[in-house]
Amino acid sequence: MWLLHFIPDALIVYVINMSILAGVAITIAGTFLGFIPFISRYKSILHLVGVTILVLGVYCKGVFSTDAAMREEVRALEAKIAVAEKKAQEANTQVQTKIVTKIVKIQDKSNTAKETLRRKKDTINAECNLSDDAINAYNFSITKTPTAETK
Amino acid sequence: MRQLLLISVLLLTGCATAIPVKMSFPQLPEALAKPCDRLLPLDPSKKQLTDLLENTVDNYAKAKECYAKNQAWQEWYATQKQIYEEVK
Repeated sequence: MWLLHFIPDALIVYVINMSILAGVAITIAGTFLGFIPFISRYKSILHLVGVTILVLGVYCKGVFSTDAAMREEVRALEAKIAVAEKKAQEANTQVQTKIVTKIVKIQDKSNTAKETLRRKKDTINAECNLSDDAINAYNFSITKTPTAETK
Repeated sequence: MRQLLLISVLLLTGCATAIPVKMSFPQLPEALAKPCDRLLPLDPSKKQLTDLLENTVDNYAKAKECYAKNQAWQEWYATQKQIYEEVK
């Protein structure tokens, strides 16, 4: 079957159409020639040959039409997928750029806050030192395992 | 019988098969592939208020990054789903 792919479609369609026409012509000819006494003995053979060619021709037409429709569908789907993959790639780039920009902004903000804390360290720490309990309670909210104090 | 044969001839068609086309799964953006950073506890030897505040600022930044990543994940999924639905 794959050998058919090397033959041009137009030639295949032409052969199939010709075989259908030939099948119809031979079948009709068999019917009319049956009225002629000398040829009437070949009537059945002509009918058999005509119908066989017609059946084969119509079957091949069906196969070829389905195959052509499927190939067309594959082409259309491949084009759609190519567009979708391009869109997906663009969407990825967009998401990547957006998230990276956001993360940079968050880190900038965090660094600015930390710089301010370092600059005003003396004022902030003037009258406050953290007790162990305060640190343990704070760490308890972050870590998975509770410290000895908070158990 | 002959008529039946002729009618059946007209109904003959080739068999259709499944379309051999596949769409590849979209790649996840690099930034979303990394998991969120864990929050850092305060070093017990650091007892000053600024140490606590710095640690809190760091942890806030981590939480915000994680929130941004989560939002990006949802956006990425919605976009990719829409693209997939358009092809179907």
